[in-house]
Amino acid sequence: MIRADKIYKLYNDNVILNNINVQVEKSEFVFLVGQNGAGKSTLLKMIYRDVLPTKGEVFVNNVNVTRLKRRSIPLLRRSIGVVFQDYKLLKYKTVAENVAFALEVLEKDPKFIKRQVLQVLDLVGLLKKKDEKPSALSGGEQQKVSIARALVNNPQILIADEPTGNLDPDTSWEVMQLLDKINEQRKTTVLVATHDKAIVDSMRKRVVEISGGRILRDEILGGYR
Amino acid sequence: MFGRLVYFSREAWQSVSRGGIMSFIATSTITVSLFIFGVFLLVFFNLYNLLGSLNTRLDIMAYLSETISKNDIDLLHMSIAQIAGVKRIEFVAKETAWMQFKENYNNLRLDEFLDSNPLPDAFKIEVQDLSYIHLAANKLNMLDGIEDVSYGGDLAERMAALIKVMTLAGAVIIFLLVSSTLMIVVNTIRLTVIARENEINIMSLVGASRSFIKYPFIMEGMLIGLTGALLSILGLKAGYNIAVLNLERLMPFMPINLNSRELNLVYLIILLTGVALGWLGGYFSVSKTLRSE
Repeated sequence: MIRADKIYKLYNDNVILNNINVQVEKSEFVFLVGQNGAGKSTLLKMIYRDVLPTKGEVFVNNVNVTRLKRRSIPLLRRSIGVVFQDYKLLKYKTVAENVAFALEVLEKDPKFIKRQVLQVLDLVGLLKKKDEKPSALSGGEQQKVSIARALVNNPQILIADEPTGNLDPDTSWEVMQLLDKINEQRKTTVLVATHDKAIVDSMRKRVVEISGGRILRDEILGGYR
Repeated sequence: MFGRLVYFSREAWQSVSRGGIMSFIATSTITVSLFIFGVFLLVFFNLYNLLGSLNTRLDIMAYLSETISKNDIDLLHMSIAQIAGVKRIEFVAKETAWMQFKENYNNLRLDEFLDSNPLPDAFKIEVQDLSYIHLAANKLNMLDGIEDVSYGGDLAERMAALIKVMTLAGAVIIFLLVSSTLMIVVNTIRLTVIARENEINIMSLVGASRSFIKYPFIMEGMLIGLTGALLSILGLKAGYNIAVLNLERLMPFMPINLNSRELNLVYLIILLTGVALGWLGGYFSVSKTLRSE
């Protein structure tokens, strides 16, 4: 499903990624771990073509993302949901409007949008709060809205870049359980970049560790170490 | 398609409203710039018309003496025809000339001041090209029965030179005006773009097409441009009518009024320039953000 092939990335002569080779199969759940500045986010950004590698190629569904024409990038991104540490919600829109926004900008049918929004809000457990503004929600709830928005277009891949970075341990655990549920129920491929040792250790998923721009280990049922 | 247009227009309108003082500044700048541009166009068109009204450069008017007989006029016609370079001769009877004059300057209400026709009979002579005009005029002056000779060549040439200078100076002024206005529009919409950067990022991440992201901002620019253009047209219409009334009083012999087709052309140019400026402003401001992603 996702394949990074001999990836190098330089920023102002600093090597961020150094010969990265990694493959993720359909419906896999993968933790990407490593210190700050290890290159986790850069690698994730390459998957949805926000960043280009200096050398090497990234394939998503056998499509060479690095060679994608600019006008084709939106099509790639429609198959990938992205979640960030800072949620990136629009504060003037309600929970339902924030989620619906992701489909409105794709000019989907209003009836389809309504049905999808209610379905994903039910999945993340926020149906009752659909008319609240983000400011009235806790951090965990806001992250769940962000996950709902990433899922509303039924993407094949869900990328979460430090999704629990701003959350307390209990809420972090809840969010991770939600990502696991999405992976189990919807067979969505989930990639999570995280620092959260406790969660990685207890979830026993595949772990890819990046250090100094290189893959240090890739374990099927790994822990944080 | 229609739904898209409604969405873009709604977003553009909301953005202009949220823009507050900056939208006001951009609209005012466009209004003032287009007003100055419009004044220039109106002056330019009027001068151009004036040039046309100064007879064609190849025409000579030979005014006849009061006492000349019909027979002498016929003889004179034959003598004029023999002058080198004369292409066409037209006899203009004083009655016809007077009627024409009164028609051209009906604002002067000449009948109230003059009891009789003050104009003489005349020949309107056209020469083959400009090189004959001085010689022909000199020869005409020497013929018996001709009191006075006049031709608009010199004045027309000076007028043409003035229009040329005005066009050049105007082009420089308009270029400066348009580019500074464009910068203000770009920066105004940039503020909206910056304020909505989060929204633009989300749109881009969920796979909205670039045109879908861009168009609300381009429409915002066009809306600002259109409003500015309409306001400046209103100002020009009011200002032009007042200016024409005053100038007619000050310079009654100058034909300064444009016909409605020419006026509408000036207003159309202003309208299109305003919309184009807004379009460019919106395009540049949002393209910069999308490029830097």
